[in-house]
Amino acid sequence: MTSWWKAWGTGTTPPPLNSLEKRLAFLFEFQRFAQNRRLAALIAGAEARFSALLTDDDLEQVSAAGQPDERILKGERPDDDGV
Amino acid sequence: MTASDLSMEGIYREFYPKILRYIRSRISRQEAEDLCSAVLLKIQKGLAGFDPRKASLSTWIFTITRNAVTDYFRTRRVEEELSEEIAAAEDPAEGLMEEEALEELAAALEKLPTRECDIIILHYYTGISLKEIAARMGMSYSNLKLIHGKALSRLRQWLS
Repeated sequence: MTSWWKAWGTGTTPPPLNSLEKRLAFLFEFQRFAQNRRLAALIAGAEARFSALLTDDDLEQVSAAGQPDERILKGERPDDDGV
Repeated sequence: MTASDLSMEGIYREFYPKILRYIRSRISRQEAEDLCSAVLLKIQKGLAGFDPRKASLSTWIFTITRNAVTDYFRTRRVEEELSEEIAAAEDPAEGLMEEEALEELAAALEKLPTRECDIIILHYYTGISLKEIAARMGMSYSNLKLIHGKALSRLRQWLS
């Protein structure tokens, strides 16, 4: 099968970057429909890593709250007072 | 599914979940099912005119589905960024799109360093602005733009 990229119609010349961006936008839109498993795994990984990142606002809130509870850092529950 | 065994029953079985999932990713759950039914009707009406030499069945159905979503926003005059995104994703070679293209893209993205891959996905799939990605990743916008440009250059090389 002809590669979609070769089928772009530009012969041997790769498409310019703005065309590449349009193509990426289309492909990712198509992915919402076609659900390619390999691509879905990459997307899940990227979104999970992004969600795990703290924003500046989050960091400010942590800073404003002061030192984290020592028990949490040790992996203990804060309400666990040994009772 | 090949062109020779095209039947609405077969199409329904294979594509209904895909159509519904795509529409649900774009509009509210209640209206999605109505729109999905409308798309299936359009497919049924257009099936006789479908030409497998011009596009794969999957691409043809996707195009009908995407157009239905775009029309949905247009008729409701909803000025949402989302509908603009869908319209912006139109391209002249869409008829040649095959599911294999997604495999090629996945293979290329896998070759990218993780951070570059993430930036491409977050920007073009998730729809997060480069500024927001930069802020969340704790880097300057200009630095992120450099990395983004480098990722695009690599993709351009590998996909050409």
